[in-house]
Amino acid sequence: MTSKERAYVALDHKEPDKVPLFEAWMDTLVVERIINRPVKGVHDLIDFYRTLGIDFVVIPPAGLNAKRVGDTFIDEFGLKWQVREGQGIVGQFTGFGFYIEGMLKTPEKFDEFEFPNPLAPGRIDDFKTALKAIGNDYAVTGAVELAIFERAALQVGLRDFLRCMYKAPSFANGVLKGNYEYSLELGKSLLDAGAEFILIGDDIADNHGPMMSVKLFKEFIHPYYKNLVGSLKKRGAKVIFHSDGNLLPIIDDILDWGIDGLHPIDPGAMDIFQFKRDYGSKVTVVGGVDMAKLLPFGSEEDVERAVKDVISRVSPGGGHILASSNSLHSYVPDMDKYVKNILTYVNTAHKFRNYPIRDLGSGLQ
Amino acid sequence: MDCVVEMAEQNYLEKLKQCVASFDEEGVVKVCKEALAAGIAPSRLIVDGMAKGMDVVGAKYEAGEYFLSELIMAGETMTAGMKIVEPMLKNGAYERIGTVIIGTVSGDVHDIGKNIVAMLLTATGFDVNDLGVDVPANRFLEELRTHRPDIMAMSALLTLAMPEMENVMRKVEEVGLRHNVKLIVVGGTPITEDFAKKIGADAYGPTAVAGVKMCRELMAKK
Repeated sequence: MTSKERAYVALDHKEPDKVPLFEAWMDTLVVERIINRPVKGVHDLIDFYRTLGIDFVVIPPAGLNAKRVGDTFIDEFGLKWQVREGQGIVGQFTGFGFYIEGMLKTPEKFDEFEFPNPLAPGRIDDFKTALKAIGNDYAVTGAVELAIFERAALQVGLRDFLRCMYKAPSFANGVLKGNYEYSLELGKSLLDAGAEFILIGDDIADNHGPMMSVKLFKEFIHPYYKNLVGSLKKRGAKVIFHSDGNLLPIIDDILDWGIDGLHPIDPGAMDIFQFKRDYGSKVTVVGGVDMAKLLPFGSEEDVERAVKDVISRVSPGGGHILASSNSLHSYVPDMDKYVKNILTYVNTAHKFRNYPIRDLGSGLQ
Repeated sequence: MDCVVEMAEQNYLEKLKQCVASFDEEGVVKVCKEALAAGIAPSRLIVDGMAKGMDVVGAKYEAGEYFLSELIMAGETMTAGMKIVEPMLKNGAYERIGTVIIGTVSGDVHDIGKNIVAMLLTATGFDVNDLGVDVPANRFLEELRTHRPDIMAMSALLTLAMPEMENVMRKVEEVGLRHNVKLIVVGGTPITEDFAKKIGADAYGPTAVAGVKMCRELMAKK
């Protein structure tokens, strides 16, 4: 099977020839270590995925028109970021560091603001390039990031935005709507360009549960997602949704959107083994390799054992795509160890991912 | 006569509890003003009124009924009430459970969890000095040296910041300031009980609400 064929079968909750591999967000420093050269453009990103044999090739949209102000920059969505030269998640804003604040804190500021054009020239050029280069064989995936809630919360400030959902619901809804409309148009343009796989990223939960109450979620967030995912699915796309945190209080609604895959089943918040048992027939589980503790701090043996364990226990029956549990960021104390562990994770996966999954005797339970 | 006064006082306290638990900012301000005008001690309005409302919210959070949005709303509501009541406290004082310094360690700028903890600690009766984010080890040491707080609380969201937490603990021991603080509590997404034990912290808070509860329980024992 090609990577693309494998991806389709897994997202149909079945067993392909092998467990597919997936990564979405990698720090520039990690990518450079793997491909042994600086990251200059999309071809370097493609090489990263091909070097590691990752089936899903996630290509983010371009961030355009960022305004540099000293050692910070303000992006086209009104978000201010701290610059960290040569570091940061590859793609949108290579070189960004930390989010500092949003510039749309009030209804007045929001009313003056105009969302950027999702269809602006250059927005999805990288995606188109990747699709043309390897789209026949690989599951080239368009990314719609910070899709609805997360960017709204960053634009206003998380604490203030959650408060506005109670105290200023029209304003809160206006910000969500603007982001929904942007994400919908971006998603549709990716499909127009030939995308078959879409990754929607939106951190709506923390370890305790959704950041907003279930009632607020149902009122403000759920309808937009039902429309967004529904629109993309109607055109035949496979949709993977990403959020950190514990989604169990709202999982039925999330599954009601019609998503094909859910990433990452955050190990800090949910048990992937239990989740696969409970929901594996309804959604493909994308995740399994802890990047918070295991990859930065574990021994090579720990990594090997953990990868074999998750394959043994989650992959049988299909409906599993192996991935790290968030992103391959660079906030680690020992880069050499981390990169070695990433390679061990991927090499172990390649060694043991063939279906039917045999008993890998990992010894873990 | 005393009975009637006591009942009236209980009514106000109960109303304040309900206002905080239901995020009624206008209500809490109105009731605080009325209660103060009726001569009820400002400290009672805080400790036996509004803080009890925060307890209700905390319990509902732990039970999975309330989420971050409700912790924020309750905190805002109590802050609105505190703005009315605090100026009326005699010499700015009321019985505090203890003093706390809290900060996100150096290398990490995440603050929402820390802010919730600081707000809950204040609401529950601690005197809190929030040192902010990206706090260097020396700043923690300086606070211990100068103010001898009851509790030092450290927060981190990034795994990368965990060694810095360990670094602060080591420095506290090295310069002999461990006896300047009664309790050291740590928390944040990547923090575990094992890690807290390993670095020598006294306690670990898996959630903001659990962490604050632990602070109260541990202070009661000290």
